[in-house]
Amino acid sequence: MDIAVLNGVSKRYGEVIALSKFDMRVKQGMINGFVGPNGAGKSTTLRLITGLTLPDNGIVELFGASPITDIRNRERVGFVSEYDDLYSWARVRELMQYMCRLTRPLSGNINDRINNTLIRVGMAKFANRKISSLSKGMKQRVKIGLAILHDPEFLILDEPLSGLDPLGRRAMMDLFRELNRERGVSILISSHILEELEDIVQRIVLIHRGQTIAEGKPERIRELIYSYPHEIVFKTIPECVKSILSEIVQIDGLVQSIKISSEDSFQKVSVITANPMTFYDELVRIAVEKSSPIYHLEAISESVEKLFEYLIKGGHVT
Amino acid sequence: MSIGVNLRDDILRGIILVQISLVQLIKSKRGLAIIVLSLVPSILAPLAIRPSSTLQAERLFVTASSVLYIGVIIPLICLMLGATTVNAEIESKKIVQVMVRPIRRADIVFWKYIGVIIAAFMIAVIDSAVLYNAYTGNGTISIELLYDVWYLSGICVVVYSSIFIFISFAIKKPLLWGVFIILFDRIAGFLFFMFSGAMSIYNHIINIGSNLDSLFPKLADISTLDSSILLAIITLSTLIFSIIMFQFRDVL
Repeated sequence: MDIAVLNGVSKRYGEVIALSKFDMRVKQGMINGFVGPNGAGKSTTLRLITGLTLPDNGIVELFGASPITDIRNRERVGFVSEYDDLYSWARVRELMQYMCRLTRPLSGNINDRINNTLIRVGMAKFANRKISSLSKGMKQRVKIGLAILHDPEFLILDEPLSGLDPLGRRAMMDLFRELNRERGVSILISSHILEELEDIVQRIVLIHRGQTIAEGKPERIRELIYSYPHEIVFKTIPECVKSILSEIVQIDGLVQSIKISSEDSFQKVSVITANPMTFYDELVRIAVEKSSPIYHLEAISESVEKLFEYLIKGGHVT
Repeated sequence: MSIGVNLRDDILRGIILVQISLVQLIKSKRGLAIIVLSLVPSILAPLAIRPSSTLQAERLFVTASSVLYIGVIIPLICLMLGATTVNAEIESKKIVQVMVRPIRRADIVFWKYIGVIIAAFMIAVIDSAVLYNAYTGNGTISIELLYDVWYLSGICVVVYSSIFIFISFAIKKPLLWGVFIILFDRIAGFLFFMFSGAMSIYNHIINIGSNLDSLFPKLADISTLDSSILLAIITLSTLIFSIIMFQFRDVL
């Protein structure tokens, strides 16, 4: 069952087209990843689902109803925005009390609920701290706490890990996993870093310039991305270049192009390959077998933008 | 049953929104600055002119309350609170935490408006009470006059808060335009007084006061009821337009 549906949705901000005839479905009970470079339309999509933004065209549904008019469904949703949207004058516990009562005005055991949430997001020690005195990571934890405070069925998380240190990221990822596993909470989580979500999500949607360019299981997306030609540069002494390259080009389909240039006393070899892991293995093997030293090895990281353009041009759009 | 439960929940949520607005006023530096600054004229005005009789004390209290407070300071307080209540929260993204909860956009505007009214009225009551206390030391002023001033302050707060919330939605730089509107209203009220004074909101508020006490000047040819209807129309129309504009606005 689809918990949120966007059908032919377009959204424009002045001259900028944020989304163009965009379709997306969020599956119930799953952790759905939503990945794209900055400006791809991720946040716009999440705002449309939460009813913060109105579509120019198309249909947006949350639990089968309009997120703008059917406000009761918002009790079932928790949202973490990318912005610093906490009242800076409030204390952590005070803010949680207000927001909990705004969502469920007559809910009993609010204090127990808040205490449990504070423990879950690792903010129990800071319950009486003023929001204005919290670090960015702590604020992020409070925002996540506010989103899960009322036991929502559906969590919408816009870059929820930004500002968190590695331990904090791990802890929050574990929390999301736990909520999904134990309570069946559906999650839609956005990021511009695919690796960040790979381990947690069961399904990924890649978005670029307001359009879905690929969607599926993380393994499928990983395959697509690894089919992207990587540029690897290594340096060796001039005498060894020939022996290394003659071996490498014999491996079927490993190398797409080679460029050689001189740099100081070394030869710099730039290789384009669609299979970087095999290339590394083979390069090491050949270097050992031929006693050809490698003095420098570097993978040239392309921008996410270029990767997404490659996926579109290569006809990987699904 | 469901409608009743929903209505009860909506009202409870509204009360929490009002509570947030009031706590925000007290806890924020901006709120404290508004309260303290608005008290300054109440302290300074009686020092400038010391009344020698009860009648003069009453006249000075009414003049200071109407010209200074109802004419300028209360509208400025409404401007500071009204122009920053919803729109500034949209600009600073703080409204997001409220908007993702089960509250209608119309309810947010309405309850924030109620919050502004209560906050501004509380400040107005404190200010005029301080002013009353300062003048009454120099002559006995009827307590009824203080109640009249509170009544007119209430009307002033209701009308101006609505106008300034609307302005914050309708135009950029609402604070600047708000000051211009207050000044224009005062100048219009002064210049056009001889032409019945109907151009000024302030004049209409004071016209309602003329029904309470003869110390408040009456507008020629305009009844208290006409002024009340006009102010009610301005208030309701600006509030409705604010709600409509917020309904079709992207929050982020």
